[in-house]
Amino acid sequence: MKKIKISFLFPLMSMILLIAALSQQLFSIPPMGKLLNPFSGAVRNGESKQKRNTIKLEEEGLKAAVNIYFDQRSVPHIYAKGSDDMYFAQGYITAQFRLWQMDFISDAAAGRLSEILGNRFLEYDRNQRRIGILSAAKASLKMIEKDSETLAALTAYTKGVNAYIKKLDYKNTPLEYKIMDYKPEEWSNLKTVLIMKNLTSTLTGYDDDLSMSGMMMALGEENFNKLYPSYFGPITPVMGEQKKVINPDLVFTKKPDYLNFGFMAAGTMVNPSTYNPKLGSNSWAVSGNKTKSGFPILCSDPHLNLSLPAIWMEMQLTCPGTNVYGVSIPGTPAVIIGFNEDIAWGITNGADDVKDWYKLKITNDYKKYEMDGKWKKLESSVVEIKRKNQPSFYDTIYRAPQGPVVYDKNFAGNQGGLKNSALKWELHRPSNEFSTFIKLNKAKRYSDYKNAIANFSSPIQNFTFACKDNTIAINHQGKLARREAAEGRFILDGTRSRLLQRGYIPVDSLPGLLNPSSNYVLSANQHPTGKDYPYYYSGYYSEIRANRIQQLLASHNDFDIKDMEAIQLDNVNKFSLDALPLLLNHVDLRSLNKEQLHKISTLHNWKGTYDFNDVNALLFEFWWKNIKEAAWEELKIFPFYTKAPDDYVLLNMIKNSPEGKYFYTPISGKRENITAIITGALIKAVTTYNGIKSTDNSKWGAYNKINVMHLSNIDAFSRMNISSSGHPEAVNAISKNWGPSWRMIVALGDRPKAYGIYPGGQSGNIGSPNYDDFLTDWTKGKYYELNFYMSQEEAQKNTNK
Amino acid sequence: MNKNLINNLITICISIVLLFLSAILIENPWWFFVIPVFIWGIIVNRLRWKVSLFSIGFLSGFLVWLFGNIYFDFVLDGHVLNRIAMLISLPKFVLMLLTGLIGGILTGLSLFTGGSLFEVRELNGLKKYDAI
Repeated sequence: MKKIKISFLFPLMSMILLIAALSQQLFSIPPMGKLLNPFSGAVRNGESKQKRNTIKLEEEGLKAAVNIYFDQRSVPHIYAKGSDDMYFAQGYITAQFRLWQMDFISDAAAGRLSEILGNRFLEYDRNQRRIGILSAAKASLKMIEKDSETLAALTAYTKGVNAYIKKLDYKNTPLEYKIMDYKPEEWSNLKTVLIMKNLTSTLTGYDDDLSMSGMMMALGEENFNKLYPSYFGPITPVMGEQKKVINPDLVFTKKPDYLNFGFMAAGTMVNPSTYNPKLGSNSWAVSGNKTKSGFPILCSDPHLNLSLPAIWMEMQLTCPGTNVYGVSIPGTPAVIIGFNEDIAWGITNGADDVKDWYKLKITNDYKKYEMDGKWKKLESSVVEIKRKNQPSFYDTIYRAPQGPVVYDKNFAGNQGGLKNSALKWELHRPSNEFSTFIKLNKAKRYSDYKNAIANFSSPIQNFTFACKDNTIAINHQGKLARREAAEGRFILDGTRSRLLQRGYIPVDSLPGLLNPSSNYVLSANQHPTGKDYPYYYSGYYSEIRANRIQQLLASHNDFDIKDMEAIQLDNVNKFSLDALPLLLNHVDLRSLNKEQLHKISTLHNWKGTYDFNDVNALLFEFWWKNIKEAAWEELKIFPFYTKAPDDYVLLNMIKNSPEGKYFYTPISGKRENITAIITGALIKAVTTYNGIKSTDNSKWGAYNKINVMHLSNIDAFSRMNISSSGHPEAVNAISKNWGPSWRMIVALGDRPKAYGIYPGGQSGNIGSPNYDDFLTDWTKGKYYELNFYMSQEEAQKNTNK
Repeated sequence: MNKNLINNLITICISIVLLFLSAILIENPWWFFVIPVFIWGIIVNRLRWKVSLFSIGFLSGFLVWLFGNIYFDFVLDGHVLNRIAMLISLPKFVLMLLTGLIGGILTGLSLFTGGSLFEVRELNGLKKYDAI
């Protein structure tokens, strides 16, 4: 018999250690052995360029087989015999294309990143739990479970996703799981709700209450209203100007009586919000009276973060009673923006302020809080945050009647000034947005549309609607709280129950328009109403895009699809157009040299366009930035100053200055020489511009670089430094990392004709040719004709060519 | 032909077949292939073939992992490995060599470990091990 040698232990141990090392993530290096294995590793995530074959889905859980056809751009066209099977198939195919994305977003929303990525995400997770996304999603799910139609759709969708997950082996698992070394977990209705809440958070998360409270105290009522008025410059409200009695509360912001230095510490440092208030959208509808075809045209382009995998996924969903095409959000059922044979709809963010902070009086031991002079028991709960390779973290979250206390003695977050304040946010209320979209998908006429949006609560959206019978409409829909004057613009006094909510503005009083005489409706995150609306509200509105769209829609009477493309791609910043003549008038030509004079003369002919090859846009941008900096310099002394007054506020100050020469700065009352500021800013701008010009980047497109980032922020999976036209304030609202995330134009008629494109591709798989194949065309302003099939036979015939 | 050379070739071929078979039959865990290779090492040892087990194992694993990755990278043309190379900041050919290296070292080690499990008395007297 042979003897076992002890020396064999040495190579054995080396091998075991090596396997262990190559099996797990070490610092930022992914598990290399798993990842580079040719049989199941990263290389197997590659997809060849062949056209996708028709899928006949016969999974367990389906009532009948579902056919899924793919067109040339890999858009699935789902044909099911019933709505449950349709949502099942939607879940299945979405998981096949985007599983990691939807799983990751739901985990990020729930505050579970430490569980998959480790302790470095603990702060992020704690913040997510404390602002209450997970508990809000759970509350909403409870509400949704009472609505049989929505519950059926969500449940079928979940089953579809899980049917796909069950079939996955390691080889086909999305690459991100392999790199971050974790596994997809079973999908659930809660995860679907979390994705919707995450969108609500993105769209309504911005607030500047703390900063504005400081500014109000520092500037005083009068100066505050000069610098931060609710209405400034020209507006095109969603519901048009009604010319009724002006509501003084909407015009002048009174300083709340409690807001003084006893209430708030004077030197509170405020960090800018991590949310982007400029995320916006455009959408408009034109009735047949203004189109060549005599049928209405509807356009919608939501501006969201530019990310890979793309935010949207295109598809057609059909079953008896439904035939809808558009974009869906991976992780949620139904089409969110789209059209069917009869109607089309678009959405833009309402941009209202629905997020408030109440400063509480809490005992040092966090046991009691004061309300109306009485001390009451402060509720608390403990949440478990699981961590990868570490024991769970337990966080205590306190809760006042207004909402959770996000920042406290144990958690400073990035907003120390909000310590011991309760967050009241519409996102926390149970809501069922899915029902609206499920109903919109099969709506046939205006009454169906109204019924679909009637219970839509959060985030407040502007719905635009067009029907082939030539009805057009717009509605600023959602739960908008009834408020006292100025309520919500500043930190609220949490010790008074009077400031707790007093219900909502009635649905039939919400701003809206039906078949206006202008024959068009539009929204671009502008004020929903004029100053004559009887209820007080406030928000973070943008007016410039709406004004420009209105100008363009009013200028024509026979629109076709090409005209609409031109409007969506319009690169004019109307503010620049308004400001330029005024600024040019204030330049002191005598103090300019020859080259600066030459620049001025070319600017004279500029039309405010931020086109790719425009050579003036960059110079104007620098010029205006310098003027702003000089004008608002003294506001920088406030540690709570985070947001410059609106550009139109400054423009109006220049316009209305005494004799066109001076304006008085609000704090020191210093007399500023306008001509000196504007001329100095120009000279400085020309110098900066020439510095850039020598590197040949003075064309706007060459300077204006955008990044389309992978959700994990891994550069290797992103598309960066793409030269682009457009400007955040132009209708083509492209910015460094956000922009038109879906451009759609639908011309209704006997058969809808539609065009669209989004920055990305259908597949979320980095190894797929469909990962980012639309991106280049998107930056060039191209559109794809959308293949809307009227019948299954048509789908079959056209996809199997 | 030299008998030694033939034995070496047979060892390589069987190792490669084992690497393929284990990958096809069992996907999880990713390192499963070391077990059959380990057993094959024991057998080679008992056959008393004069084979440099680590080098031969290394060569088999290196070839299979390198060409496996090259093959799928080409056939699926997904450019996934380009992205992975970017992710870990290495040129792609270095990444390819790295895959070969991982496959090679593990296969080499497992074949060698299998081979050194039992003591073998060399009949030719080239090496003298104590026998019981």
